Amino acid sequence: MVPGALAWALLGLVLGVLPVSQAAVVVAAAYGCAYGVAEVFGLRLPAPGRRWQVPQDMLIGASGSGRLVVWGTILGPGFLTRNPYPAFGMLVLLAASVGRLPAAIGVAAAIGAAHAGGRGSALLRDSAAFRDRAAFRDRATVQDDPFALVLRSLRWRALDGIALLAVAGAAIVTAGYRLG
Amino acid sequence: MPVPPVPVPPVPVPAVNRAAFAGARRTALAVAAVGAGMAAGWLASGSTGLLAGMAVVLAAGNGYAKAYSP
Repeated sequence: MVPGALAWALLGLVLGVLPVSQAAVVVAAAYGCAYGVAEVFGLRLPAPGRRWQVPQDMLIGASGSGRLVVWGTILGPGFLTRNPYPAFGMLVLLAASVGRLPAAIGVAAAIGAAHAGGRGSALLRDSAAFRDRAAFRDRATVQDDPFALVLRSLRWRALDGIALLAVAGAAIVTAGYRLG
Repeated sequence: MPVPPVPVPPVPVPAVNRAAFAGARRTALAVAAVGAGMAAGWLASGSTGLLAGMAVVLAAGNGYAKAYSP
């Protein structure tokens, strides 16, 4: 969580200095509406971001602490790897919408810590499932079944869209207060 | 030597239906989500704290959901 919080705090520092908070709220409202509708109704609108994923070579043969560093520094902040959910782009816009410099750094750091914490808890859940599978050979995890993984991904996409629409609603009203 | 075709299992329709919302339900959920967000924004009087709180919750959910990305 620490690398995630630090990387996002650095982004918060940059965004807090730039005079982009008013524009960021308006863009967040538009972004949330567009991607929220696309996610909820299953329209093809690719999420902005990178396509890169952590190569297997960086993990195979690496020690436990080495893997921890890779997972923590690359997957924790989330900037470098592929993220299929457009909510990640919204996080940057919301960090930019804060405006005041100390608050922007604090909010961005909290976003980074929360993202890394969520990612870490998913990894712990997966590793627990694999341990269970080793103990009880008849139990399969979601990751074992590609079809189940796609279904679960579809559900998360719909949930992601609903969350984006809720944030867009709040951003519309906030933009009205700020600009009105 | 010709490779024998791999049998493709049929897609279980109930599973697909469960995964996807019905059209009307999706529309209702989308409208409710925007309405709830607007109501929260109005109650918070356009406070930045609301968007910041939403961002933290969204970040935690996004990090967790990223594990389900085929």
